[in-house]
Amino acid sequence: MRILALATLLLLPPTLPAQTFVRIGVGATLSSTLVGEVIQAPISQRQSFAPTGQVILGWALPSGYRVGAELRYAHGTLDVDDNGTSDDLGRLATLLVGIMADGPLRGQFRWEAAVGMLRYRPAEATGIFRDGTPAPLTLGAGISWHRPLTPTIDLVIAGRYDFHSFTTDRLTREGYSSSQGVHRGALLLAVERGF
Amino acid sequence: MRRVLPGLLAMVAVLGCSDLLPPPGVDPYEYRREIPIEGGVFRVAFHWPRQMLPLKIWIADTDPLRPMLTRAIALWQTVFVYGEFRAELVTEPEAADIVVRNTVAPSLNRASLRLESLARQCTGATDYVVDTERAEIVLPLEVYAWSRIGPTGEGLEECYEITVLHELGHALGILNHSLDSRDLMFGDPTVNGFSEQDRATALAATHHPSNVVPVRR
Repeated sequence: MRILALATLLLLPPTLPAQTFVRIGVGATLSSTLVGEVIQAPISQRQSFAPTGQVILGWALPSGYRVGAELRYAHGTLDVDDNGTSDDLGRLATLLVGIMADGPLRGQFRWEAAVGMLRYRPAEATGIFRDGTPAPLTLGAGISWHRPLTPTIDLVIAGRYDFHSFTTDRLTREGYSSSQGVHRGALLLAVERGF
Repeated sequence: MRRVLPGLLAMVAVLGCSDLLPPPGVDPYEYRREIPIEGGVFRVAFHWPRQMLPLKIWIADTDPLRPMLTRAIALWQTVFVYGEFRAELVTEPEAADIVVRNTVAPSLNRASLRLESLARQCTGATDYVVDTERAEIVLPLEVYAWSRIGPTGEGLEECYEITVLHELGHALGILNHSLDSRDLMFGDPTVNGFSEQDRATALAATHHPSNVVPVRR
């Protein structure tokens, strides 16, 4: 329903106030290890390669910079690498809710920065998520390339890197200390409509 | 932006390079089992291959051990962080990796390895058929628990809970008994849960290289 509303927004005649834009994109996210150790042999788990959807609703500032609210949803699985053997522990999605900013870089390129909360959404409350799911603060940066398709619609290709510090209540309860730096990369193809 | 960027990069470098540190482990007890063979002993070390997970466990719908088995599966699953043990109940015993019955264990085959637990109200047994020549374990594993005090009696339900939990530990690959009465895997178990040693032993058994493979014949 939300996607339908946003798609409608993209197709609407330009009646909203100027300097507003909507971006809808799809792509993929890759994540580094969430938790890993050596128990006789190396073992680790991470979110798998995850198809990703992104929605940004933003506003252009007179200075040329833009700010916006961003939702990015990556739908993968929780994968275990047990000494070279892979295992799938079920669905694991992540939902980033945050704010982003971008600005001109050179030519059709723009830099992007984002900050937000990343909510982990496993299919079941088991394993590392048995005692709850974390929502760590996430910082990100990236570059986007914009190509005008019409006077109000751009094609956008964006590369995004973000990182956060990961642990869960279960891991803390089990005696795991510190936290895991998790790095994620996403490549997104989007259309952006200005109003 | 130029003033903020170095700070952000420093934060990324510090937080991004950190790793979770696993807890210091306690020593496991012996979980392997020596079987006499011609000219020596065969020390069996077994755990289920990941490819077989979730394990298929059969128990009759009307079996009084069924709720204890469901509980035991759920509890053993909580021991592991990486999904090393997962199991589901199946409706066909022919498809099962493990079969559980509330009946007295039959007389032992020559090729079988029996792991028993002896509580006052009930007894449990887990039978492995080990082919030492082929280094194979023949499926299904058979788990039994039966009453020593008749069909009902004080403490029987808890005895079944402890015994089924204990026997499932054997079926996971803990092929020996602890010598500490505070452990679930003590030969005459009285605790209805896991000690740190039980957890450490289950982890060790699950991650130590297996020298037998489960087969169906």
